[in-house]
Amino acid sequence: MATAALHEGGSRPSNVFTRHDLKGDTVLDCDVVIVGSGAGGAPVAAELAEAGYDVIVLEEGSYYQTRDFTANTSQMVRQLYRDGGASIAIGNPPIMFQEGRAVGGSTVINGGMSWRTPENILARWRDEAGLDDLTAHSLEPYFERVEKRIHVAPMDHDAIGRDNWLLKKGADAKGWETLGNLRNQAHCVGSNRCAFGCPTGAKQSALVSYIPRALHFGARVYADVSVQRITMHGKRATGVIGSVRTDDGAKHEIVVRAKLVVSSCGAIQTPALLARSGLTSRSGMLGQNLSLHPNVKVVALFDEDVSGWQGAHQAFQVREFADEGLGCFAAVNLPASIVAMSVPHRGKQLGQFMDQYNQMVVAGLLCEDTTTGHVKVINGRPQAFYNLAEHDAHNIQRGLVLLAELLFAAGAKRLLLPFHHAQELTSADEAHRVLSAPIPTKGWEVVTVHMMGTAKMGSDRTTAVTDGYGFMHDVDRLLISDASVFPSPCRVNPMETIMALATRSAGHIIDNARRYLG
Amino acid sequence: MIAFAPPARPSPFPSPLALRLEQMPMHELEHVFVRGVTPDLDQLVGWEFRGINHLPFNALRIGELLGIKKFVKGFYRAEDGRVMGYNIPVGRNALDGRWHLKPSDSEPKRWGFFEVAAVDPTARDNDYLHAVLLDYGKGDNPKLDPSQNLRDYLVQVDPKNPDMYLGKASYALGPLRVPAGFFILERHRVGLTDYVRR
Amino acid sequence: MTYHHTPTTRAVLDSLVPVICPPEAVPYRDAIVADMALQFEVVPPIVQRALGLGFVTYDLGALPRYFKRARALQGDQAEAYFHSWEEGFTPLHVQFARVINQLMSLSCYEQPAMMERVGYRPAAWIEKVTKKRLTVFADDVRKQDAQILAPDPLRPAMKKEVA
Repeated sequence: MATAALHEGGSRPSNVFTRHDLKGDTVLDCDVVIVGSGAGGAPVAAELAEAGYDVIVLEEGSYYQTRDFTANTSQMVRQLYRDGGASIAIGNPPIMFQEGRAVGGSTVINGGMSWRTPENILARWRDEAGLDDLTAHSLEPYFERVEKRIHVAPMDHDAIGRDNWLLKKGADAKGWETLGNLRNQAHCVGSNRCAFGCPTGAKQSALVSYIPRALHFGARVYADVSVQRITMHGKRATGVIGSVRTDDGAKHEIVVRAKLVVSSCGAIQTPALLARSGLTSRSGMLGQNLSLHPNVKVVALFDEDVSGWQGAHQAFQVREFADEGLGCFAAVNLPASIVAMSVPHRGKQLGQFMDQYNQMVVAGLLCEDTTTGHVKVINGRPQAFYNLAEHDAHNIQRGLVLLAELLFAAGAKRLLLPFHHAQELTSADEAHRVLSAPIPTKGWEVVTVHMMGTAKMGSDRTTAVTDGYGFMHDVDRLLISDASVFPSPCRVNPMETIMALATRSAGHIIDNARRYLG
Repeated sequence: MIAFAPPARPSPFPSPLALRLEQMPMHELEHVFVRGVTPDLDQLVGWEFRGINHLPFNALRIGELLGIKKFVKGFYRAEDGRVMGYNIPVGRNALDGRWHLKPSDSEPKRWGFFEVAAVDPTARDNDYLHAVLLDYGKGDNPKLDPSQNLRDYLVQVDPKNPDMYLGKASYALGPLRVPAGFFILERHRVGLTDYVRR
Repeated sequence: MTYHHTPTTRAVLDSLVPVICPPEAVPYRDAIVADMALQFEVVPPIVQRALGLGFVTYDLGALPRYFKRARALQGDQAEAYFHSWEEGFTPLHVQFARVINQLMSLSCYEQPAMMERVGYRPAAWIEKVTKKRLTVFADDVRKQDAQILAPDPLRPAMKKEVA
């Protein structure tokens, strides 16, 4: 039984293949080939496999099981993150982003927040992109199905760490709306290793939910495969060509022939794959429209023991200002090494600062961006470009003032801001004073894990890359199933939206099997 | 697709929309064409449509000079189940005047037959996957009939209006496709549902 | 492992440990520098080359002022020279200093002794809570696992149709 293997250290499922298994050039045939095994690809794989179709999933990253996720943070980052987590969107300021690269995709390294697409976002997508079918009502069955599959549930009370209780205390003192996070977890016990692979098996990432399900119904997963391009016959996608590097350093080609090709590589890699395949969009929007949900964090120091690492990652979200473009505030404990990396201190000052690690609350805010960037493909590799809009910069600065107020209301004594050369704050009034004037963005430390929009959906092929189900306009049998298809930022953590749209697309394929798989 | 309820009596004259399309420059017509939707073949079969050609250099009135500005296209289902179509010549008169089929409305000359089918993305003629292809090469036309080199794409201009279509014509010279302008189709009268060519 | 520090890179990193890491981390210099090699291995080749070039430039850039390479600087001189890069003749200087500071700080606090010093003990915590999950919540865990594999077709009435 696949799940037993994942949780209890059993052997690798027989229909998972890695670079250790591939001895030479390989040609495979199937009904559906899916490139990418994360939130967009894994649900499609599971649904179509259960419907009786022969599904192959190709994943660039490696296959890990729950027992492989350890407390060694930098090792986990090297194994699970593309480019060691050092991907950067060039711009003012440069924005660091992370993409998961492992079977299960970015769901293996995300925090697991699971929210339905807000109704006003769906309304925007209907109005701007002509997607009349995207209503809360029509998507309800898909949201429900996803939530059941990945066990979306509120946190167990005693799995919530002190840092999150302090966040809530501050928000309550301010009278701000706070929600308990819904996360894809079955009794998360607060190991706080979500971003480095859940070592307890509680987080129901695609790795431990949709992928085992797909395998159970006959899908095959090939890990360590880097897909170079999609093969075409005229305007019909007919498969993919990739390569795998074996242990002896040799490179072998893997060709998959399929009736339907699904690209689920994410908003940075999907446009790159399509560009390498010679595919363009009449709309000119392929690779454009990149939105990021830029976020910044502060480090607050308290006089009490917090030990935020003993408790769940992000148990609450403060949503008071969501309608003003500040999607949420949250407490996100980081391992000691990541905190050390992200503060400007060094030497003795770094040591003194880090000695207070267990008194820290690391809190962040997420901004719903109003501008977009783009992904350019250079020598076959994607490079993201994005300049933070002045409006969003002002909004983030305002958000920092509010977050500072919250943390000082919770009892924080000092606060470190996400700017180079920023002074430490000791009060909310100081936050108001310091942040009252615009701070040049070039010194900001901005990060993101939500990349969206680079193959946006829409009914008008002159302005959109894909149709309302994610099928690429003017190409036959090519589905894009990941956050690239979002017409705009979704304001909330995108995983559940991606999974619901993927499930809906799978249903559409099954309903029109002759057209897509005949 | 919603089942089409034919109008009690289509107008015999071109609509303002048809006349507006006729006046549009090529690049705007291309824009309209690309934004069109796939025609439902059941909405075409058994009907004849008023046609207006929008040839390159439209302002020079080449269509009028050649006597092909106005025409009729009809659609029917062949014995083998394929959807087929034909052309009917129309007398010259003002663009907004009546369509007089030649030699007569009751017994028109049908020529330039074509097959109507979804665009095959793997075939040579795959420029517009959202259109249907009117392939004169599969129309069993006489060997020396030059019309058999025509390849037309057809879209429905507005998903809410099943009476208006826009076509984009090209002429096949081996593997080459020479653009031959656009044409506008508007529902005209009941045609032949089943037609057996003799 | 495909990446190895060049002698220049290693020497510069060795010299920067006392500048970037806190004094209590200096005994772990070798482990910190070795950990950085693991980090460099996974960055794109173009970034590796840029870093390599950066280290060479950093090393030689100290010559005009100190008449010795940066790798040989110690104490206040090493501190002052690194600071001059942080303040930056060019944005590239600033960015290089920032990146090295970040990566070395990361490697520093990946050392078990440094984690222990700040009271971060994730391994023991993970073991404790994992045991809790698989005992206290065993039934629910089994139910979720079973649900993942239970038949639940998206379109119950449909069978596979292939031309």
